Amino acid sequence: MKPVIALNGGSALDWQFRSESTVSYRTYAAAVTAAGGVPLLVNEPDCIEDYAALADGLLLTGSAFFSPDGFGDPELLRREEEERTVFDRTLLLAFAKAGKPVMGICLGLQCINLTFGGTLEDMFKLRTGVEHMFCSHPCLTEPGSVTGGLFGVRFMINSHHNRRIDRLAEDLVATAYAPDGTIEEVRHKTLPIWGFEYHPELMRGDYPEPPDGPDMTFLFRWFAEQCSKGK
Amino acid sequence: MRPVILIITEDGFDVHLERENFVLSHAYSSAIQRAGGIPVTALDVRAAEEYAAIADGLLLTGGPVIHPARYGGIGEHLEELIAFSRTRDDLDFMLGQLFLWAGKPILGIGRGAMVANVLLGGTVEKHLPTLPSVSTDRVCGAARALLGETISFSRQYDWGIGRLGEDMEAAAVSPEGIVDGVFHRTRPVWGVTWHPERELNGIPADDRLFELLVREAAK
Repeated sequence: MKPVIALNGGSALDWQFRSESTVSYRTYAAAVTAAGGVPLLVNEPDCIEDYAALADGLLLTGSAFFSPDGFGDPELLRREEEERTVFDRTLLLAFAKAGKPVMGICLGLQCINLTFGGTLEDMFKLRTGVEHMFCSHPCLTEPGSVTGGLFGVRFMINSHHNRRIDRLAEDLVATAYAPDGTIEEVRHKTLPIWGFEYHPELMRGDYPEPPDGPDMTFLFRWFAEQCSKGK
Repeated sequence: MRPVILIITEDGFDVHLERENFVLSHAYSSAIQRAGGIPVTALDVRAAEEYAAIADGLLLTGGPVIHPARYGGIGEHLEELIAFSRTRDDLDFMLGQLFLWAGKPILGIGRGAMVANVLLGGTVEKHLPTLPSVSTDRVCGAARALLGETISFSRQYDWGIGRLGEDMEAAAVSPEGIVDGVFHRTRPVWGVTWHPERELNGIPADDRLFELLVREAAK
């Protein structure tokens, strides 16, 4: 059977339906399905242990909304996000404990770094003068990088973030960078956990973002294979 | 392990980022969790067989109108046709059919009640007469054991259940004669046009149907 891959969503008070809800962009589900996986949205905090037992892997997704409250930075808190922060971290730890593969995207990568003891830098563009929101730039991979093995030492990626990894958690290794030194890919030293600062789920289809980047369906297929191994 | 209940939810569009999305109201997942089930949400019809294999029960939720071709009808006006969601119809009807074949329980709420009825060969009534916003229905048949003699709720739709599906029986009928609930005579398939998952107009949430779904899914 195909690997079942749990996805988290945003717990914001929703714009569209004006009720407390979980939102997930369809691009994540489509990427998992195209890679031969079964995308399953999970959202109930009381069922996290069950989710880790039921699914073969976890895709920690990104969000337009997030603040790392719960990691000791109340200045950045947006009221509706505290719940998600706690949920994402607990979900990540449950899958880590089960030894099941985890792939973090954007906020998901940041959640991985924070959970394992690293820190983030918010609005780093104000200090560095380099824009990373709604644009694209090269990705430069190091030996041991997943995407380096799939796509080579240099390829174009999109960029959708105002925060980035500041201090990398000790358990993690950085395996790809932007030209300005922003960490774009990490892996855990001992657990099957990987993170990407850009959005590979948007690098698919008829008009990928950016249009000159590689087809990231291959990255999702690689991840689905990791999830199948543990079955 | 507690029974896994698969939810099919609203698909929508994020106008800020111009991206399609899925939106799950927590009222549904909380109701499943309170009833003792594990709520998970389906996202892609191409994984339908796997969803039907891993889940023990199906929750069809509220949403837009059903494309009339699903029940052998036509859309006389373009507005009727474009209001439907292809993604949603695909997920609801494919998964509904798979759960029916597997004999796994299906609870339909709002639009979901119409979907459940259409799955069994029934139709949709597209234009209900203007009705009071709060209805007190007479409960009929096997539903009485669960819901009692009458049920009050807020009416959310101006479309509803038309011809009953095969072996579906009316479970709740309004004073105007509108069928607001259907229970299958032999299969674990139930539908109600109202929204028991949430408090509305002072009428509190009602967990009984969710408990029925989870109880049946545990078998």
